[in-house]
Amino acid sequence: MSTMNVENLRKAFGETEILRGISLDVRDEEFIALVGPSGCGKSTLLRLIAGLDEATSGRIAIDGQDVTRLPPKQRDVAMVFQNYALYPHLTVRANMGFSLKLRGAAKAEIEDKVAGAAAILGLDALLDRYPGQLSGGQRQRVATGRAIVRDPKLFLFDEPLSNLDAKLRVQMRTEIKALHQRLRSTMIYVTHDQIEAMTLADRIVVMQAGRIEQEGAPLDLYDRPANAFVAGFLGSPPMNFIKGRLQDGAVVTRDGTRLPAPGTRVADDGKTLLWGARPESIVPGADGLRGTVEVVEPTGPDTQLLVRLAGEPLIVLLRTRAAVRPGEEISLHVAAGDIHLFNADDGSRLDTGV
Amino acid sequence: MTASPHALMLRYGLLSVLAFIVVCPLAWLALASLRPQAEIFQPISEFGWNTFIPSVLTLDNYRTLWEGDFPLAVKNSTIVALTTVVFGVTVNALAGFAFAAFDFRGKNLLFLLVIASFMMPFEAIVLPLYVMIRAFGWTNSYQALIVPEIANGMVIFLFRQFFASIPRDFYEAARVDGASWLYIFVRIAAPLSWPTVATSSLMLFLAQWDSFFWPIVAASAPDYAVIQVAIARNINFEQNDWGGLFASTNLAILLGTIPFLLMQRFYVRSLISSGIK
Repeated sequence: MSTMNVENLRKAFGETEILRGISLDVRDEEFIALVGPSGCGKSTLLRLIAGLDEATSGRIAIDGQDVTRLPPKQRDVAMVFQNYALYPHLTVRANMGFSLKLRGAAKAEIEDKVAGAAAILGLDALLDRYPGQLSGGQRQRVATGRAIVRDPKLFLFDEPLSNLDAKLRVQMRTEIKALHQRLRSTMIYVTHDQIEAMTLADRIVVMQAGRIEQEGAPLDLYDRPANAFVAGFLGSPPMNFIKGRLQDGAVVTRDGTRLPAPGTRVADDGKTLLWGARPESIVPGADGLRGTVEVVEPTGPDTQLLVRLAGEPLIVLLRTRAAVRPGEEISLHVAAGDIHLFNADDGSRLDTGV
Repeated sequence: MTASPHALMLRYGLLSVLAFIVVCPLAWLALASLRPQAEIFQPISEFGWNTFIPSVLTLDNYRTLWEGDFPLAVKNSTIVALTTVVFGVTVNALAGFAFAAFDFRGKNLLFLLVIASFMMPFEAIVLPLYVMIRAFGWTNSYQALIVPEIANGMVIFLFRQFFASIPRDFYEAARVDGASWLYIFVRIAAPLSWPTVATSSLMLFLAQWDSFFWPIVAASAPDYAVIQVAIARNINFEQNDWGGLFASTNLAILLGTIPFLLMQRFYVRSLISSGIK
């Protein structure tokens, strides 16, 4: 059970800066998801915390102790790798007991801990198999088990589910969440999948180009994204953006369509803005924005529409089985509180005060 | 794939001729060693069955070998070759691992030198090597035959290629778990490298088993004669012992295939079980 602090951490490979000053405090028992597009530096940050790479500058502390220059084995962290890194010539039992044996633990203790972890993960029957004889989901569980037996201060996960198929990924996601609730350990989880981040984490850290864009509880980030990047990254399907100029309390698009802009005092008239609305907050309503339905995609519980509005494509997610057909005109409405406004130049959020 | 009977016949016919051409000299060699000295070259002038089938079979040539210096040469070659394999595999595997797993200053230049070392003909370094060996006082000793052959650029290259193909995650997972690099090498990298160990062992063994030039330069004393040197000594100014030459050549070939047959088992098994992915 422990905390982790990162202060102004930088990492450069030659001329290329991967991390440009990261500061992050992880509380005891917290589940943190580092999320961002590939190349944003999230995996590098995890590797620095593990001690696999050395920071160019800055400070990493685990439980208050400065570990910035310590080798991995003195940090007491366990890491689950994307490719699981199970040694093919060792059985599941030997793979899971590897770190304990290395530490010189007694045979009985190793047996005991491996059996304990195997029971938690449902691996009892597989202990004498080799990794090559396991399915993807089982291998993932063994990799997690190898981390559990160590009872480390910190669990690090590097995209642990990205090699699984979609169905298994959802199942393993639930298992990892249950595991965290059971072990109550501090976990840092890297993923590029925003759904994984949303569902698993107590707190999400969104990264881009070596910087933290925003951190906070999943739903806070979803409801009040600090900038257009976070707004577009979290949520599937993603938020719709339409560019326009602010004029008399509305965002006027290129073709003259007036999109409602709550909180008229957000900026001076004439300023170029990004108008944003999430697909599920756009609903059919009389006297609203008029668009043309181009594509209708029923998924069972929902219907996803592609609507052409003000010359821009707009994704609308209806929680009903809508009886609309391609080519029809549709009138749409967005509640004032569901409209997001961003600066067009730097993407920062404009507080509408609604 | 199907082929017409005629095409098949043609194919097998051509292959049979080719096989005959390849096997013929070896078969002749094997049979010649079983002939009495006087008969060895006699049938060549009158080509016929007698060219291949000896009229009298005798083990005299082998008996003479057994009573002479040849057993000592076999022993010398075996000691030299096996020691080279043991040290060579260890040293070259460690070097290959270092090239694959570590980033250090001058790594590329060093690796280029390793590659250059096996591109270069051995004859080019015989003289400086001999001067060095003599300065150490190693002439006419096992060290002189073994030590220069331990480091082998080709084997380092093979190991580097293999270790570089192991996912880095393996090394990193072990490091996070607290393993030292030597532990990672011994417990993870080396056990996975059986195919390369088998190939390298064979290469090192055969290089020593077949070596002639360096042994005759560095250890020409009869006590340290290796197998190829012993074979060559059948022909000298006083006499041409063709029977001895053929018999010793045959034995060298037969003994040389033993490690291959032993290794083949590992070779095949490791290819099957090394499924890393």
